[in-house]
Amino acid sequence: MTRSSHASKPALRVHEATKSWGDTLALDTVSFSVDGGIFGLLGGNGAGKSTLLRAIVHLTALDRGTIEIRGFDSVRDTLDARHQVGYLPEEPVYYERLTGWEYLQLIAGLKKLDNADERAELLSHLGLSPEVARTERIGNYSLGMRKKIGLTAALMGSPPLILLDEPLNGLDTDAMRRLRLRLETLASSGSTIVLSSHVMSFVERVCERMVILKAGRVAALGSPADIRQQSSCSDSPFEDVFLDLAAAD
Amino acid sequence: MSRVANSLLLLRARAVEAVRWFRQHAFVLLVLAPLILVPCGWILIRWAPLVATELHRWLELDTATPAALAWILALFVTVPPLRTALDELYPPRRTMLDALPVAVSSRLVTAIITTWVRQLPLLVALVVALVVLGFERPELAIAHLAMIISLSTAVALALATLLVRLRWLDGRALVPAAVWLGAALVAQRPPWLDAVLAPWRASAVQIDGLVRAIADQMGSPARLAAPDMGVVLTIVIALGLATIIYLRDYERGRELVETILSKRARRSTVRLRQTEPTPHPVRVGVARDMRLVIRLFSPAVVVTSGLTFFWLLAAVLAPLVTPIAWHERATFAAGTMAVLSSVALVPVLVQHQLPRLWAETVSGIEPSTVWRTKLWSARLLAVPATLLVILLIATRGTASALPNALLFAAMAWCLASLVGGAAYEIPERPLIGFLFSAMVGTALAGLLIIVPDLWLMWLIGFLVVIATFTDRANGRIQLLQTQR
Repeated sequence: MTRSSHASKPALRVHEATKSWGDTLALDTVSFSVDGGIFGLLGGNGAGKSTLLRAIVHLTALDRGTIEIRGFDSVRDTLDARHQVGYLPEEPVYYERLTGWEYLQLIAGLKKLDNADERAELLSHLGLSPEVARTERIGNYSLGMRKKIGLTAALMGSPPLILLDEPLNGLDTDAMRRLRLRLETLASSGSTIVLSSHVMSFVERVCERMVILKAGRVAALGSPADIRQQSSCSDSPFEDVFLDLAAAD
Repeated sequence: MSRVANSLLLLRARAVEAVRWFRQHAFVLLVLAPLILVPCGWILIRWAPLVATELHRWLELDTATPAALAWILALFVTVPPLRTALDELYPPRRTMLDALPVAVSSRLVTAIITTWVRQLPLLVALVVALVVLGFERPELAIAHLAMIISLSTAVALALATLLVRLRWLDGRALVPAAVWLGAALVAQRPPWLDAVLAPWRASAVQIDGLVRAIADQMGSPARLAAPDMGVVLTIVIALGLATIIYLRDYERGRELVETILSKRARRSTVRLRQTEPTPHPVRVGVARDMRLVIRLFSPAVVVTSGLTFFWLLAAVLAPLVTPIAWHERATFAAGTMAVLSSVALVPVLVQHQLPRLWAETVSGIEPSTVWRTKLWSARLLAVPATLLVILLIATRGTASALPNALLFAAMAWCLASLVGGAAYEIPERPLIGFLFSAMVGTALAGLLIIVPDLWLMWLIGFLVVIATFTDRANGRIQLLQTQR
């Protein structure tokens, strides 16, 4: 398959992804496809969202099923697939003794990106002063500052597929708004964004499509309007819609 | 009563931690370490009489040098517990403990006991060594060493509280240390200086007695008779001083530590900001490793630096205690150990990297790049010790200085490559990983030191071993990158 033919493939295709941890089934034949826009990955605690995001970048190996990123198999063509991705884990572990800027330099070096201006612009946009990032070590950062460093690392270079696991944790209202604007810009310029979150108002506002996971299975899939239709309380706030579809039996 | 109960609870938590640490490292401590240490001990026993005779002769000839050695050792005995005492008294980070109603005195008691207990392995190791050497009265040595540990604990606690009050937690602490050490070497000291130096003098006297008793070997254990009242008084005064300063204003001391540490972090950060590595994965990885080392990412940095210094000192002193025919070999051997001590940090860097490996993994770099980063980090870490040993070989001015220097440089490069290359073999257990690669490395280096003419064979051996690591490394790193 040539590079140009890969560009015509969906940004992300998950096919019957299955994973167990011991006796616990974390993912049970999950299938969906995303190409462009902002896609929400919803579910209660332990529904399998983080496991799925980790499996997409092959940080976790699936028991069964396949995942393709722009046509690259995440297991067979791991490196090609990872080159398409920017990823923010739920609880990233950083090098505490590096400054935020040095950490971003490291990630940029590993990804062979050489645009310091883009890094500074991203940091400023998210509300973290590049000067602070240059002088303060990550060990001294607040939760919000750490999250902004992780977001900048994931968004650098505008990768075709951006995976954000709970990107809103620790962000203040202003930073959430700035993040939303940036994600919308990236989506309009061709990136596909998959994000998981528990902030339903944010998800309903920004996501064009979403999947709700319940105990590792797909409980609902579609646009926010489709999801509402699948619920028994379609006129209620989206939080109630989500709880109706995702709550344990 | 509640203060005692709180101290006991804190100590119990520490004990549980220690037991879990021991269980985690049981294999190394109970199986691997004896496997390595028994042959080393056998070699030591074979060589000990010769070393003891030389040391004894040296002590008889010269009285000033052993006294100076005792003073330096006293400083070395005080510094490691100083670090423990500082961490225990003024933890650098606020924890859950700070939100609990624990009296400051309970913290102090815990700090005293923890600092003392953490020196116990040294005591046990020394007693075992003395018993192996056939020391006649080990019980006297135990009492003597326990006294040295108590003394160094008390001095460390007093120093820790004083240094925090003086805001000298940075490099300036080395200035008084150097001044005191220099003053200690002055034969005619004024009384006030003697008073300032009292804690070290007490330590030095104890250590001097121990050094001489070991040198006399089975000769005169009488030197280790019960410690005098002066030592006991020094312990009481030092502990009293620490207690007064610590309890007087604990919160202020804590604030000072936080301010000093954050200022220090900012300073070293600004200094390193100049280096902007070009975006090449291996280069940025090596730059990260060097930054972590310079910023003391782990206590292992201090330990390995101390060991490197010790072996470099041994390389300098080697001609004093070895027959002339062995000078070059002794320098090579000590130099080899210095290089190995420097690169022992690499497995620790790998262990530190493990929870952060996701960032490299999702960046889409090849496993071989991750591996090559550690290979180059090891080579770079070995450079200072290698250059110093080469300088030493060159300054001795023998006819074979140039080929020896070249040979040592090549050997150091290969040793560093071996340790760096094997760093991902047992990443969760850096000590085991290092011991395995160091065993292979020292075996090869030993071959070169004993039979230098067979350097080609040595080189072939190295190439075979490194090729094995190269093949394995990719698979190992791929396994680490993906959770199964």
